[in-house]
Formats: sequence, C-alpha cells, structure tokens
Amino acid sequence: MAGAIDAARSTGPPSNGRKLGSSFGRSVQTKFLLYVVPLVLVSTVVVFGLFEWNARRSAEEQLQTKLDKLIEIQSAVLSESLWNVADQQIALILTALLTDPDVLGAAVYDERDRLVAEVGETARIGTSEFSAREDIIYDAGDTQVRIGELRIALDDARLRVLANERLSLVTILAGILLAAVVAATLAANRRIIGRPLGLMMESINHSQIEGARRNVDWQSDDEIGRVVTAFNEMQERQTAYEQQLRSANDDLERRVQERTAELVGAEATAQEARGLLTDAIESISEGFALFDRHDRLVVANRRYREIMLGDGEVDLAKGALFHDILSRAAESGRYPNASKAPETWIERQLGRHRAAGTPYIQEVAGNQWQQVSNRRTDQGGTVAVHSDITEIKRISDELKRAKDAAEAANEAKSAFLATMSHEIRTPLNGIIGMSTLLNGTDLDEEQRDFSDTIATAADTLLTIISDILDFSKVEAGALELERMPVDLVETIEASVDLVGGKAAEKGIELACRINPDVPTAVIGDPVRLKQILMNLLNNAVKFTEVGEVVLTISTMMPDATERTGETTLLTFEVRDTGIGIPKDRMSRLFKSFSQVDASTTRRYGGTGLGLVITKRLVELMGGEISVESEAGEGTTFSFTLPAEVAEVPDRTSQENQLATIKGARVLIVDDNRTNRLILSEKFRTWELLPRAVATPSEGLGLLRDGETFDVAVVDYKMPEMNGFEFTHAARDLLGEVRLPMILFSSVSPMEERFREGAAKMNYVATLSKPAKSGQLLTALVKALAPEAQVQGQESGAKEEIEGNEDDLRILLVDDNAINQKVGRKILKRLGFDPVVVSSGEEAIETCQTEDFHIVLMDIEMPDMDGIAATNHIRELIPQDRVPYIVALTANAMNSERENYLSSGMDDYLSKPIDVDALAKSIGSAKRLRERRAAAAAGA
Amino acid sequence: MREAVIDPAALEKLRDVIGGDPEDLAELIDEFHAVTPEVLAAMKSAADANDLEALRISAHSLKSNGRDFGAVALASSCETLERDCRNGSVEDPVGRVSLIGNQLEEARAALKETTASSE
Repeated sequence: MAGAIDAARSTGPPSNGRKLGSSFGRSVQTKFLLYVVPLVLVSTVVVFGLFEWNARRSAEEQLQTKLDKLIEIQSAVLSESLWNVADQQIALILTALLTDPDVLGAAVYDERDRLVAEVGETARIGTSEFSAREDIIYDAGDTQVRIGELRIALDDARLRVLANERLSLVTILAGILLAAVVAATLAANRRIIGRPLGLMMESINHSQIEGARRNVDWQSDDEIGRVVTAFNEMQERQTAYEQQLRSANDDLERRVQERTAELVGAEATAQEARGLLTDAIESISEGFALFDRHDRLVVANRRYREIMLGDGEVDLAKGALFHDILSRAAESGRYPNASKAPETWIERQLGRHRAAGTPYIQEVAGNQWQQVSNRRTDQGGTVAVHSDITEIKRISDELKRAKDAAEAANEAKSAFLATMSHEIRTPLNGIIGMSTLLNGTDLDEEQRDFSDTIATAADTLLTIISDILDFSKVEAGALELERMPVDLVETIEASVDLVGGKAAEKGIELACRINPDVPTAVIGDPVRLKQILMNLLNNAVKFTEVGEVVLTISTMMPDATERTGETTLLTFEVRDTGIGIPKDRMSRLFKSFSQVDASTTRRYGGTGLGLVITKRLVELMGGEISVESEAGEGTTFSFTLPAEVAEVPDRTSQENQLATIKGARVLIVDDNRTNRLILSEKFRTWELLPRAVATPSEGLGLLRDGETFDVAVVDYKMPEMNGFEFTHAARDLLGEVRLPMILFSSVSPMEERFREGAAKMNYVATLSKPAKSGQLLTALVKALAPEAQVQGQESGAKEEIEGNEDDLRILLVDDNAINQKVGRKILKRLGFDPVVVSSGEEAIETCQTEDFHIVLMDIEMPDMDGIAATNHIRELIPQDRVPYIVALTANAMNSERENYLSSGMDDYLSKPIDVDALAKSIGSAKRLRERRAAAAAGA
Repeated sequence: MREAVIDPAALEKLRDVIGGDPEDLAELIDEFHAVTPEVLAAMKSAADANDLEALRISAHSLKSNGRDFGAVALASSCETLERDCRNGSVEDPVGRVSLIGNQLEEARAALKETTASSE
C-alpha cells in the first residue's frame, strides 16, 4: 500500500507526464509485484519444503518400519531353514523376498559369517540407506542360539519417484498460486489504486491539456478515496485560487494595457502638440523667437528671420547669440535707426531685450512699423514677438485724428448746447417774466388771451429745453445723484406748491397726503426727487380737466422709519381724475419722444421726454415706476424709492409750536373730500381736534348749534358760497365770539380783487393751496397763541443757528451798497450784526486785524474778486483761524457750485439770498468753530 | 404800464427775506434810488473807455440789484451785457448802457410808485 501511494506520489509532478507514460513498467503494479511475488515464492518454497521434508520423513520411516518388520519376520522364517541347513529353502525364501519391489537385495550369513545365500544387488547392502542386519536366532528350548545373520537392503528409488512427483505437483501448484496471487494483486491493484490514480492522472492530464480541471469521480471509503476527495478539494481550491489569480492577473493586465494606451496616447498628444506648436510658431504672422538665459537662440520662425534679417530663408542657427543677430540685422539695412549708429542701436535693442518690459514700437525700412514685445520665460529666457503693426499704426493714427476731431466736435457741441440752453433760457425768462407782468396789468379779453398764450408757450419751451438737457445728460450717463439729507415733507410740499398755480388755474383740487409713518428725512437727491414729483404732478394736472390730483406718500416698512441709517421703501403715488390712458398705449408711455398719441401732443404739448426722464431718475435712485389707468377715469403713477432714513432735523421749535396749540378744536370747511381727509389727518397728528364739513351751510349749522371751535380753516372756492361769504355769515352768526380763520385758496394772492377782499376779511393767514405744513402750523399758532408766534415764525431759519449768535462774528464783503444793506438786514433778522466791507482788499485787511467765524464773500467785485480775496485770506491767516468762507454770487448756476468749492470756498450761496440756505451755511460755520474749539481743548 | 416794470413777487420775496418789515423794504428802495445812479455812471464811464472788465462788473452789480427789486427787464439787459463783456465782444457799449439807463429810470419810477402806494 505504501508503494502504491509512493507510486501515486511519484506520478505527482505533472511536468513529466509523458515520461511517466513510457516508464509504466515501473508503475505501482510492478513495484507491488516485486514485493509480492518473491514473498509468495519464498513462502511457497518454505511451505512445500516443510511438507516435502515431512512426507519424505514419513516415507522413510515407513520404509524403515517395513525393513524392520521384514527382517524380523524373515529372520524368524529363516532360522529353521538355516538350522536345518536347508540351503535350497533359504534361496527360495530369499527369492520370494525379491518379489517385493522395494527389496533391493538380501543375503544370509551363518554364524561364522559365511555366505549362505544371496539375491539381488547384495553389494548395496551396507551402502544403501535402508539396509539392515538381523541375527537369526534358533530357539532350542531354553536357549537361544545364534545361528546366522540376515542382511536386507531396501531400495529408495520409489521414494525418489514419489518425491519427484510431489515436486512436480508442488511446482505446478506454486505456479498456479503465484499466477493467482499476481492476477489477484493486479486486479486489486488496478481496481483499488490504479483506477483512481488513473482517473487522477487523467484529471491532471486533462487540466494540463484542456486547461480546465475536472473532478475525479471516485467514491471509496479507503485512503485512496480520502486522497481523491482531498485531491478534488485541492483542485477546487486551486481552481478558485487560480481564478482569483487570473482575475487579478487580468485586472493587472488590463491596467497595464490601459496605462500603456494612455502613455501611447499621451505620447501621441505630446507629439501632436509639439508638431502643432512648431507649426503654430512657424505659421504665426508675428515674428517669434525664443532665447535662453544666455541670449542664445532656441527657436525662431520664418517671419522672425524675415523681419530681423529681411529674408525668411536665411540661415539662423540654433544657439546664435542675440547680439550677433542684431549685428546682422543692423547690417541688413532694414532698420533706418540702425544705419545711423549701429552700435548704439544694438546696445539699445539689447537693453530692451534684457529688460523685457513693455512692448515698444520700431520703425522698419519702407515706412513699416513693428511692435516688439519681450517677455521673460520662467527659465530666465526671453520670448521676443515682433508684430507688423504698420496697418494698425496707420489705422490708429487715423483713429486718433478722427478721435481728436470728434472730441473737438463733441466739445464744441457741448459748449454749443450749454451756450444755447443758456442763451435760450435767458430771453425765455425775460418772456416769462414780462408776460407775468403783462398779465398783472389791465388787459382786455383778447389781449389777456394773447398774453396767456405767450406765457404758456414760453413755459412749455422752457420745460422742453430743460427736458432735452436733462435727457441728454441722462442718456450720456452724466447725471450724478447727490446724497444728502432730504427733508421729505419740505421737498414734497415744495413740489406740490410749484404745481399749485396751474392746478388752481384749471380749477383742479391738488392735495398731498404724507402718511404719518413716513420718515421725516431720508438720504437722497432733493433736486431730482423734486423733479420727479414735478413731472408726475405736472402731467397729472395737464391731463386732468375736472376733479383732483392727489399725491400720496407711504412706506411699506414703517418699522424702519424711526431708525436712522435703516433703509426704508417709500411709495409715491400720483393719482388724477384725468383723461386716462388707453390700455394699448400704456407700453409707449415711458419711451422717448412718445406721447399717448399724436393728437395728445397737439392738444397738450410737451416733448414726451418728461416721463422718460422721470423713469430714468427713479431707476437711478433704485426705484421702480409703474402706471395704472382707466381711460376716462384717471391715471395713477406710482414709484418706489428705497432710501436710507436720515437723522430727523431738529424739530424742537416745531414741537414748541405744537405744544402751544395742542388740543385746539379746528373746523375745516372744504368741499373737496381729499383735502378734508388730508387736513383732518394732519391736524390729528398735531394732536388737534378737527371737525370737517363739506359745505359752508354745514359749517354754519354746526356754529348755530353752539359747537365751539378755536379756529376755522376755510376753503375759498366752494359751490354754494365762497370763503369770504362764509366768513361773513359765520361772523354774523357768532357776533362777539372770536373765531380766527385761515383762508385756503387756489387763487393767486396777487390778484387785486382777491387781495383786497382777503385784507378786509382780516384772516389770520391766507394760504395758497396746497398749504405747506410749516405755513399751516405757523398760521395756526398765530391764530391760537399770538404771543408765541413771534418766536415761532422765524424758527425755520433760526433753529440752525440758535444759541450763541452773539459771539459768532460775520464779515460781509460786497461792493454793492444795496447788497450790503440787504445782507445786513437778513443777518440782523437772524440775530447777527455783521462787519461789512466793500472790497476784497478791505476784506483781507479786516480779516488780519479781527477774527471772523464766517465770511460772506461776493465773487464779482472790481479790482479783486472774491476768489482772489479768499485765497489771500487763506494764505495770510493761520489755518486754524481761517474763517468759514461762503461764496455769494448772482450767477445762479448750480453747476458752478463745484467750481467755487474747488477754488477755496467752503460753501456757496446764490443771490438773491435764501434765508434758509444762509442759515444752514452759518450753522456749518458754527460747527466748524465748535470742532476747532474741541480740537484746541483736546490739544 | 409802469407797474409791469417791477415784478411784485420779487419785491415781496425781498421783504420776506429781510424779515417782512415794510419799513426795511422802503429803506432798501431808498438805497436803490441812491446807489443805482452811481452804478450807471460807472457803467457809462466804463463804456466810454471801452473797459469791458469794469463794464462787466458794474453790469453784474446792477443785474443783481435789479433782480432783488424785481426789475426784470433791467436785470435781463444787464445780464446780457455782463455775458457779452465776459465773452469780450460788445457792440455799441455806450448805446447799450444808455438803454439800460432808460430801463433803470423806468424801474426807479415804478419803485417810487410802489412805495407811494403802500404808504
């Protein structure tokens, strides 16, 4: 068995399978037989030897026994014959003996050993193995006498024959046995070991030849079976392992392939890139050359050679020094500059090359121009690009000429526009002024109509000119918005005020409602905001024949109102009851030079630019404008305005005023509902108790019923009776009871009859509609608390400068005696006593001898103008003592403001002087002084 | 017709600016009567001497005063003259100054009337 395993093992290495097949003689079986056959042979020999030995011994014993028996018997037989000396008999007996085949010979001797008789081969008696001697004894009664001796030899031939027979038999048997054993062994071997081994071998061979493993189909519970099972398992494991290995291998292989492909691709790309680069360098229209850090040429394209040396085919070896190339270039005569002084030229080129700075332009022979850009590479080399810019230079020169021409033209145009606008405006103002004056004279109907037409036409013309100027500014993006605190109430009311006249002329109610939650002040551009409002309001009034125009301001973020710096969103809404805009025309509204239709233009006039400018302005301010309209019902324009809440101006004086009138009962008589609502709301905000009625009779009814009021606010133009009539009636009714009245009117206060009538009525105040909050409040204070009025009236201007007026020293410089007087009076009103001088020289002198906090400096003066005087003052006086200098000029152009400020003025006021503006300026001067004082105290 | 020379609104504004006292206004009007002939005289001599700079300044001065007192036409003429002086080309300066002189006379007369009527 061990041999079988050995044999199986010896067939193990699959590498020499073929050799194995040929040496099958040394197979397991052979080896097995080599063990078994000798064993069988030896054991057969031993067994049969023992058997033979035993058989031979028993045959010899049998023969011996036979010999003993025979000799005993024959000796007895012969004793008588011998005693009797019967030789004959003896011979017979002996011969009889010979019949026995085993008996070889017999002889009888006498007592003296003489031969008596003999038969057969007596010679072998004594030599034969089986020979015996027996004394022949004669029994003579009482004595026994030895009378002779019998000698017999038995033959062992039969014994040998038997032994030979047996040997043959044994040999045959042994052969059969051996054959059986061998056959059995072989069969068993084949069945138990050979088959499975063969199968395993086959499987191994199969796996080698086919590459696929096959399980060995062998079931047995012996060791072979276990080996086969183990082999199968091993194979499976190996298969699995191989599979794993193969897949890993495949994976690896795939990756290797991929990587290889990538490398190949990359190499190809690089190759292509190199090719492309070379092609590109060669084919660019610019001259291109790369030099290394030692200024040796690395590569240069054809164009470079052409440009530098005048020939693209010329040999320019790699490694050529830039200096040498330059020398050749200088010699080639291509560079006009080089021919004059080649060495200097070369030096300059080298310098530029090494500096690798901004590109420079160079002239090439034949009126050609090239631009040379030198750039440092990362490796310290230089890339030189020579571009032919002859054409570009030509175009650029042309363009420059064209640009200069265009700029000159544009400047001329701007100047023309500015001059024209000025030139047109001046006579136009004259026309307007004169027609206004004309209207104030006694005219007949026709004349008045003519005069009105002149005024309207001039107004329209002025608007158009302003619009066109604004429009061109907006279009050019030249319109810049200011950022300054805007008193919303003041700005809005001022805008409304300006439209008031027109509205009154047309008999339209104009009202303004500012929601109480709207902040008092925001950061913005008051002039432009006013312009927007004016445009919308004017439009509304223009297109409204009957009804009202209402401006409403509200905020969607009332919470932000109280916090300075917060951004709030204001909504302005201008609603009218005018002709409205048809739906299909709405889209054209905000477009340039378009009105709703041509007939509108004919009827209402206007450039159609107003809304475009308005829209742009709103957008510039970050808002949005929209319109809603119902033809025949009216139109509502609304726009939003994001704005930063500004610090609320000091309102203490207003608060004082409010405190004096708080809780007063006010009767409002006005037929216009909107006005009643707005007034009521305003009064309630002021903590008054308003009572509004729509008709004079209602108002009179209330008075008749004994209702008491502290003041009445009466509209002039009402359906049943006008304001004067109502006042009469009310006074008649009340008798002695005093009821101060404030008259509201849309009628121009300049109209004589109205003025006279109003004077007779002795109103507390006659206000034109819509009334400004300040005016209304002042009027109410005057009506309700006359003693507080004096203080209240001037507060608007004085609040800026209230406090230590007395020690604020003011110098007024003006050459014009009247202006000096006017200025002095204004300042006196504000509580100041200015020093007045009438020339720049005097101003400088005075400033050197006295300290002033503010100088009001006229600009236009003979000998030395205000700007020169100002500059002198600034030069001569230590900086911390230089007064706050305010320019005064009658050239009222806001655009000049910047000019004055940049010429050394701290502020600018236009004549005729506006009291509020002056007060503001004085306020600034005061703050400057305070800052200085603080700085001095700090230092 | 005389009333048309002066824009009452401007006068009203001037009165408001100086504090609303009619006496103050009257004082200023007196000043106007006193000062403006001097200015006109300066203009005349400047025109005779063809000194455009001096003419410009006095024209400016008169313009400013004219505006303050609502003498629209006067102010307008002075303004045009001032600008022409600045631009350096004045045709017939003497003639223009005499025209301004006429306008000034009208304005003065009109102002006198105003003062008289208000008193």
